Amino acid sequence: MLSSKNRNKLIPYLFVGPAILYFASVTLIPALMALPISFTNWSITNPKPRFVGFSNYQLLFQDPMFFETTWNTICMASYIPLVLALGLLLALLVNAKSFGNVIYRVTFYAPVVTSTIAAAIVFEWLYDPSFGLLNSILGAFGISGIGWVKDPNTSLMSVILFKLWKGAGAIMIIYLAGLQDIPTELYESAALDGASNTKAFFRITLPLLRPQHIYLLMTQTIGLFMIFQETYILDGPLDSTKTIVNYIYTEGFKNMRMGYASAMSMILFVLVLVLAVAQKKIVKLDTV
Amino acid sequence: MKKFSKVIAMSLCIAMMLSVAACGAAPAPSSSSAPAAPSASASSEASPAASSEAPAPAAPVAPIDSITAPVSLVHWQHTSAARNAIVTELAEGLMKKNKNITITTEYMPMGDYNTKLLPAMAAGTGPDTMQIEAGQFERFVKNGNLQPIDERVIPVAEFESAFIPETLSALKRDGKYYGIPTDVQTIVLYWNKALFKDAGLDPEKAPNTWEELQEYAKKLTKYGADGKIVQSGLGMGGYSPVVESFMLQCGAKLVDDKGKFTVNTPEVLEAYTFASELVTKDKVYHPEFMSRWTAFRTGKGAMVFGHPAMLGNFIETAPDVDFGVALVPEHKGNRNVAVTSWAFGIDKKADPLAASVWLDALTNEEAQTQWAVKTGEIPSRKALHDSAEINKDPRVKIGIDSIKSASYGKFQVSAYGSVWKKCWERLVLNNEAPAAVLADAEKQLNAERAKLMAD
Repeated sequence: MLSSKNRNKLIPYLFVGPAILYFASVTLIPALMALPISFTNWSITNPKPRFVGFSNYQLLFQDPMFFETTWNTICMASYIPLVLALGLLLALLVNAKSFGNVIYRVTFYAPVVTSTIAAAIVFEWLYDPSFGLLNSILGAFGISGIGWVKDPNTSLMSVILFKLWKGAGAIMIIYLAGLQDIPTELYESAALDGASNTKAFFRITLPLLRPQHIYLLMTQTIGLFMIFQETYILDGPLDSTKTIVNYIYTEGFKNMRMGYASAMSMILFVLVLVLAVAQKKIVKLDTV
Repeated sequence: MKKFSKVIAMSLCIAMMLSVAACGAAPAPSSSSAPAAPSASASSEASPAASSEAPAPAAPVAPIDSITAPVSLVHWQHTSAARNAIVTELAEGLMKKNKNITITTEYMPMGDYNTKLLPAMAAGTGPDTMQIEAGQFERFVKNGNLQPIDERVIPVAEFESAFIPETLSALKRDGKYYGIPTDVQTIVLYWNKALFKDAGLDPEKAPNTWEELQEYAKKLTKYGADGKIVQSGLGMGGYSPVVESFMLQCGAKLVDDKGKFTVNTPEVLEAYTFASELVTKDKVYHPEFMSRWTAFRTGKGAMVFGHPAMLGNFIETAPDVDFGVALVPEHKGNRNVAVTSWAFGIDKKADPLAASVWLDALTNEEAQTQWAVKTGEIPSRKALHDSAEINKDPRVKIGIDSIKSASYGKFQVSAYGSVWKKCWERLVLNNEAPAAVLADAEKQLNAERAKLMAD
């Protein structure tokens, strides 16, 4: 029989237990399994995979598609400053305590809770060069439409625009929480000292949102390397929007090369780990 | 400043609300767009008639009565309205004939099909019987995922005498057949009669040669004030069985005696140049124009190559388009087209006899007659090619006739299809020289082949 003290110690574990079990079974264990699989030629249908040593890794470094999709993923990094800026702008706009701001907040946040696949399919239609809404609007102003996703030169930009629409609301919420933590006295003192709104923004608001900047920068960077659904639907020509995760999926589930796909996943893991550690060092997280 | 903020907030808010509203309104068009491509879906109203004609399995050998203990089978295939109805009715028919057999049919979108099937089979939770692309069969059989069709139901001799040989080549191993061919597809040409008439062409006459195809396509293409296509003469999307058919018509072999790809040849170059110049030089289609299927369905595309099974699909999805179906135009007297097919297989854990009886019920002559009449699909059983019932509809007959000059498709593996897709995009979007693209294509195809062989 457990003593009352021990029982109290046990209770938190009982609460988090199911979540940990779920995380371990659908995320942690499969992720760890990818390491041994990456040294085999397992093809899903093959019940007896063969150990192939580092050959999947060797193959990977000779595969132009691996570099092309990694480069596409890196190119999408331009999304991060844009979404942070847009999210901050929205947060500033809805921060004022005025009537109707709740509606704005809900509206700006709505794309975040919309299914990515469903929204991407809608954007696929909005982007259609022949009968899409966007080119029709451009046409109404006498501007010739562009190819959007169907043009390899604009496809990546189209995906980024979609991601901005989809992701800015979540950023807004985080920044909004930060903004509401900033004491109003600071702005009042600054105003008394003759500081303009712009100066107050750069000298008070931005520095005091530092924890939010750091958190968002890290989560968005990691999220960037996991882009899949958006580019699965908004699939540009010449593999122009194919990200590394799309390529892992293609190799694993379409071409049935699980060993090779796992090797790519391992490289991706190392890449994200290095980036996360580097970011942590750069922003000196310990001070947060 | 505050007022300005409110104005901006209000405008952004309206923009986002409009986008979200668009999301809510969209499912209908989106669902019709994604899986549009190569599958037949004739009207489902035909199905009630079929239930009364539910077939018996091939009578001479089908030992349906020897199944005396209860057996449950789960059957998977990729969805298509007309096909689903036929399969469901055939399953009900078989279950009525033998109460010990229970069949559960499950249909899933083509885009998700393989990604659901493969892990399910690997995990031992897959279906008992399923549809598999012919090009994937060898791998499944080699890895012991499938078991052979029970010879009491369809003997080897019957396979070899009854089915189209091109559809069998991937299904045999160690003297046994592991699948029953289905979804046999060639390439035919669909044309819009009204657009032909508008362009001063005979609406009842399709182009008969490459030269006519090019001439008609140019005449049928219209451009807007900005120089962009508003009506496409010929939808050329670079779909690999279409381009492969052009290659075959030039006499290309495509593989050597050892099975290695040889696509960097003068014959393939001739075909590839002709096909790509229709887009790059003659400008009868552009990838930024709507999809070739949407164009044809909406009367904005005058001609399109497609599988015969698209007949049922067009009847259902383009009821206002008066269209004809023709054999592909010939080149130097050659009208050869690539044959692609799928096959029904049996999972290693299934009851082989019951599963074979069920698959036979799905593919016997009576069943395949329904497939052909209702979806335009070419029967894999040769005897049906002369069936008066099937050939009654001249458009279905064209599909049957197309198989008479057809060769086994060499690129029926998704990785090969991806190679060709990208090569085509390099031609029509980057304007790269066909010869250089073909040299790369050969290397990439053989690299993919090497990976497949190594597994």
